[in-house]
Amino acid sequence: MNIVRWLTTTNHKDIGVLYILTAFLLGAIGGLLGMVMKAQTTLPELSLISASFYNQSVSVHGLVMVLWFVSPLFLGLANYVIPMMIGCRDLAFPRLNAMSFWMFLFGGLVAASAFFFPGGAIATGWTIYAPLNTPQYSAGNAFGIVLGVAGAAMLIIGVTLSTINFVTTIAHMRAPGMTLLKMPLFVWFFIATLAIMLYVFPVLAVAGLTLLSDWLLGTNFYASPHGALLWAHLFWIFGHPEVYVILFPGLGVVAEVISVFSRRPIYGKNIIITCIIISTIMSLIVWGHHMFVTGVSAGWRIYMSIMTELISIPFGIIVLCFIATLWKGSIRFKTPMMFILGIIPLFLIGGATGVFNSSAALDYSIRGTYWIIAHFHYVLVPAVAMTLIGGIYYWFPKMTGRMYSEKLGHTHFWLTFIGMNLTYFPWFLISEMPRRMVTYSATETTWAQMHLLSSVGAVILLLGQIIFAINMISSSMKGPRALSNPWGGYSLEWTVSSPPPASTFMNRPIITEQGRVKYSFYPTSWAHLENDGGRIESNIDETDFKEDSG
Amino acid sequence: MSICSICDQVVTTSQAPIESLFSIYFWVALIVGGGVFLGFLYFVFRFRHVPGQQEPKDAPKAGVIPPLRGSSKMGWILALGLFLIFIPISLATKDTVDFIEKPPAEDSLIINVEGFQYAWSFTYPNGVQTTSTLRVPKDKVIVLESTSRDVFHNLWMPQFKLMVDTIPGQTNVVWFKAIKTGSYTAHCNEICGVGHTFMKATIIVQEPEEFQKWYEGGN
Repeated sequence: MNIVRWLTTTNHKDIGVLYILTAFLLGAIGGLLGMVMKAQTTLPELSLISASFYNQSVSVHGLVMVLWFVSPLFLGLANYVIPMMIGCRDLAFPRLNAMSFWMFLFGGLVAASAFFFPGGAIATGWTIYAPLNTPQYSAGNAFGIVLGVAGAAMLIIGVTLSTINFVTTIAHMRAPGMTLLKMPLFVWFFIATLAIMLYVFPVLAVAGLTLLSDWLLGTNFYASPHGALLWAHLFWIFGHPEVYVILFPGLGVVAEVISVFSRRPIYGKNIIITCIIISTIMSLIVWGHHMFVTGVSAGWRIYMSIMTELISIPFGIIVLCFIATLWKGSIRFKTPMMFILGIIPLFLIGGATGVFNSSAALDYSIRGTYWIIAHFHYVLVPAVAMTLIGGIYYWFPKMTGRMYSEKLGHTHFWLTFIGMNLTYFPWFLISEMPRRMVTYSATETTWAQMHLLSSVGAVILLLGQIIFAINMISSSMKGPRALSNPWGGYSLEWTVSSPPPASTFMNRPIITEQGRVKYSFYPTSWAHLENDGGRIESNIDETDFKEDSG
Repeated sequence: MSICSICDQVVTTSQAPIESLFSIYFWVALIVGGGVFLGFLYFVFRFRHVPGQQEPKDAPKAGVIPPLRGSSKMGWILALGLFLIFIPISLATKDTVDFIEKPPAEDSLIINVEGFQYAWSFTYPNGVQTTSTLRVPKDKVIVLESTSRDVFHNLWMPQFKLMVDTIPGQTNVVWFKAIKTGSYTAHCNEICGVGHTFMKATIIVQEPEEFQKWYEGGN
């Protein structure tokens, strides 16, 4: 292990690994803040932590989990596997890729550093609503807000550069014959993520920079009349599509894993791709359901209500196609598949309760309550975190060249599955309790019972993640050697050794019209020609290739 | 059918339509989601790998991009099926929104609500002002014209299944008609600073005569 190598690397696989390690490091911070909140609300009228620290925990937990845990996790997986999946050696701009990662990491550290400044970290909720976010009302929280928003601005720079990098790579560097329809669905889902990120992160940048200018330049955007709604619109134009940004890569993992472990091709790939495109466009015009009770006009509410219901149609179809993939398969219950099958019932609950929230009428009785946090934890924890963790198990042999422990993997899955249900389901049953309350009265007996159950669940969930960490660390050092294709996967990364060489493909892969992968006579880089003393091997039968390409 | 702990008693007229709308959504979700879930369980059980079983003919293998599977006709069928489910619940939502939007054309009591860090102030038409206690008569339409003195708050009346964002610089209107006397707790439902948790108000619903006595005597 060479430190200088990791600090200066521009290789997509190394950067992928760095992203994943960063994700788990920052995710652990977010998770611990969650545990702090669970401890505080376990029993009524506890005062383990101050209201101010509770508000900081709530806000940082949300921001870290959405921006600094799941984003680097899917960017890490995408960095590692997408260039291999489409048959190219690296991203189009490797140095830009390194810069994206470091902007990402330092953005996170800048935001988190606020805990050590007077006033503590950002304490406005992760939505940072105006005008609480202005100097007029949060003077004591200055460091938290300014550092938090500055960190987010660094993240936006990193993400935007990364987006450009991936778009260029996927558009221009696919192997010959790797047509759009032949690309694995993981790549397709990631393209949707890229498209949405290009659209919404500039909006977040505008919101963040105007807020910073309120703090640093003395402008008055958000404490002025209508400032509150201005922020709410800008935030949710970013915030709602962001849900799909982090959801799509997870669904991409589901598509890959469910096909490989049920030993059948994915059902209705073209249907799924159509649904991806439709839902990507629709995701940009449904943000209003976060603002049903702000006093916006009734017509606008009805429109947003209907659009939100309609957007669940493509997602419903995608899930049904995933389930249909199992038909006449031969399902292997390995850990990645356990996670992917496990999320389907959970995502059904998360998705169905989302339909409740789309109703402008029901919103009068559920917005901002524990019902809502139950709903979005049922979406984000299974469909984003658990799917991506399934992806980590799936590609672990490829990344490390070693197998993880199947026994610990299954234990991790069951603890996560049981723990997460026990933690989040009780919240549906206390829909009258407002979120972000540091404590509650002892007269609220139902709240107390549900919070106690939820805290027990949180401990089980934490145990599962400790087992995950043990499994990953010990297996990456001492696990049995992995074959190049332990699961019988089809995509190109399974055609190279585990772990792959730094420069993945010695010779350029070519995909024939029938979808068979061949290696061209021509090396990917003439440098290899010199290194190998001019010896090039090829498995291609040239007559075969000519026939295929017509 | 109610799945929440406070749905047992209907205390306002606008609460009933929201409860029944919730039931419609709940049953649709349970039937559709439950059906999909059972189908999923059956698939997982039926198509599990058993030792000695042969691989399906089109099983993925390294270096071969699998052929397309399924017909796009199925996509249209699924889309239409899901679309049909949404028609009844959309119409039900539209009806409920219409009901909640417009206060009934009855004699009503208009109360100005102002949220501030960290309490609620209520001003009655005759100038009587209270803090943290909202007294209202039973069987009368109460219109709350709500705003905020400082930051974004939200007046959440869980027992009434009703809330309204109180936003500085604008007035949001919401109404209810209580049909049961009693004392209820309202919470602030939007994080507004360190005192957010304790920003509560008590809503006291009284018999009209009792209320009138208080209203005129001011105590």
